[in-house]
Amino acid sequence: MRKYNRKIFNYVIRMVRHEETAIELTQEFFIKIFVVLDKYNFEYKFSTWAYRICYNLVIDHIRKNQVQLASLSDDAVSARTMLESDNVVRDDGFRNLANEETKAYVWKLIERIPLKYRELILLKYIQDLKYEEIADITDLPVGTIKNRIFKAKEILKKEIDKDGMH
Amino acid sequence: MECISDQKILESIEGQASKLEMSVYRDHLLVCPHCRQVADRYLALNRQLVKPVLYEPPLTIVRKVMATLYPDFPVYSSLLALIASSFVFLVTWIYIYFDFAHNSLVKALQLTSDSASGWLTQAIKFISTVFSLVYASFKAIHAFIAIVFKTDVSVEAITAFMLTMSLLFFFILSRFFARRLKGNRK
Repeated sequence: MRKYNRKIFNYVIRMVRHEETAIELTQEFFIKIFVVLDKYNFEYKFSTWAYRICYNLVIDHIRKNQVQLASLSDDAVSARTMLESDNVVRDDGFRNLANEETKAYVWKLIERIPLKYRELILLKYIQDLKYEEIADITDLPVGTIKNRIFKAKEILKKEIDKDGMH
Repeated sequence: MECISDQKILESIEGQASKLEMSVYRDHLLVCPHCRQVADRYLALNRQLVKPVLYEPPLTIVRKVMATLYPDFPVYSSLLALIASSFVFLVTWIYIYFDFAHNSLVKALQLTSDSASGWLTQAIKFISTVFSLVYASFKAIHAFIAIVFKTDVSVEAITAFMLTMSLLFFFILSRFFARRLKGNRK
């Protein structure tokens, strides 16, 4: 449980963007894993099987609750503003920020990209999965996954350019 | 040559394009500052993505999950198991360390208990039997390890092993009785 706790929690919180909900869903995930452990299909890697359960759980929750998450396209508040609120802005403005600050900025941006892109970026980079594993989890073709991840990066790049965070 | 699309640039820097395409794109990047800048941006972005900023999950998650899955775990059962196995461990250790199997006092007690009666003699008989059983199992494990691994394992290692086993045994036993008790109450 400790092995997956961090990655699962980070995936969930970035999907639902609400701490209390993320905690509840992470708990629900672990309980579900224990309950359905006897149904584990040995054709899959355990991690892929577990992430699939997590993915379905989160997607179901979002669908059921019709979570309207503000995305970059319809949100006037930029990640730059979010960073300001996090007090990580430097005296010399946003250009050439320290690596850790840029990273924090980029990951704040990820939380705001549309769900269909964000879920794949999170599976790829938080869970560190290959395209084929993501395809097993999401039931999407590998080509679609690659395209969406590219689209996500394109959105991120545009946003970074717009904010002048190079 | 026309500029390369962003997707192609990304594919080439992530090594997803074919070898031929990669060499074409590489040649283009050498002469096109615009595409080189785009490639640099994507490289920088990828560097930020591969090492994500992670939130620390609250400790309550594991605690709540365990409390849901094992509602009475582990206060009562494990404490009981720990006390029982510690007792077995202590007794075994003293018995083996002082070689009580051949101790004249124990032998005398055993002989005395054979011709006497009362709770004390029964207790001596019981303890003596437990001692003998533990000692026999110790010898058996020792012999088994010596045959299988062709090595002589220290007394401490076997005692530790026996402690673990007895802990497990008492834990399962206490869980079993706890469940029966719960069932009877219901």
